[in-house]
Amino acid sequence: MPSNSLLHWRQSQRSKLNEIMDAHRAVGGTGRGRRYATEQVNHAYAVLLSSQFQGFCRDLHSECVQHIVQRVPAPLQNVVRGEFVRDRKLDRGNPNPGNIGADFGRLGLPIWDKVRALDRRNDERKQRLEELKDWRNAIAHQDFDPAKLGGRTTLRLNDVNRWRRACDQLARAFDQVARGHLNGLVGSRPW
Amino acid sequence: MGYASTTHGLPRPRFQPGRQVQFRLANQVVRGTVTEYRGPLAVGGRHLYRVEVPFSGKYVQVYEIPEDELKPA
Repeated sequence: MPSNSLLHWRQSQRSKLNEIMDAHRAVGGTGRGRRYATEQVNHAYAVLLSSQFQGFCRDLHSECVQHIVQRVPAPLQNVVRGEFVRDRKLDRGNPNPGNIGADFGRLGLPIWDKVRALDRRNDERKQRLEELKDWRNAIAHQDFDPAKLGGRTTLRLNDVNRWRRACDQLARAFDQVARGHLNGLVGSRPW
Repeated sequence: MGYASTTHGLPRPRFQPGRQVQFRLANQVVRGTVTEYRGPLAVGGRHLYRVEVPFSGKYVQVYEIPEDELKPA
C-alpha cells in the first residue's frame, strides 16, 4: 500500500499532466507555426511537471513528519510539527536534488543514499531531475543559456516525457525508502 | 483542494482557508489562520491543515496540524 502522497501523485497529479499531453496532440497546423506552438506547450508541460513533483515531495515530507511526531510526548507534538516545516525548502524552492536532500535530511533520512542503494538507476534519474530544474528555471526566467541546457535551446516533448518517467520512478523510490525509515523509527509500517 | 480523488470516503474537511482556529502548543493555546488544506496526510489519513500563527505581532510561524487538534477560534 502506498502513501497518500504517492496515491495523489498517481491519480490527480498524473491527470493534470495528461491534460498537457492532450493539448500537445491537439495543436494543429504544420511547419514553423506548429513548432512554435508545440514548444510553448512543452515549456508549460515542463513547468507543470516540476510543480507537481514539488507537490508530491512536499506532501511526502508532511506525511513523514506526522508519523515521526507520534513518538513525541503529546504536549510537544505541535511544537515539533512546526519545527519540521519551518523554512522547508520544498515550500518555496524547486524539487531539485539539493532541496529534497536537505528537507528529508532534517528527518534523519539520507534520501539520495537510500534511493541509490535501492536501485543504481536512481543516480541517472537524479540527473534528469537536475536537467528538469535547469529547464524549468530557463523557462520561468526566459533565459535560455545553451551552456546550462545541454548545448541547445529547444525543448522537445521527448525530453519532458523522459523527465516525467524519472519523476515517476523517483516518487515510487522515495515512498519506499520513507516507509522503511519510518518503520525503523516508529516501529510500525506507516503505509 | 487538489486531494478530491484520494479523499473519497472520508468526511469533508471541516476548515477552509481563511478560517480562524486554535490549537494547543506546549502549555498554551494559540490562535492562527488556516492557509491551506494539505490533504489526508496525517496519521490514519486524517485531514491535515497548514496554519499560520503570528507571534509578537510580526513573526509568523507555520504549523501543519491534523484536523482533530484544531478548534474554531
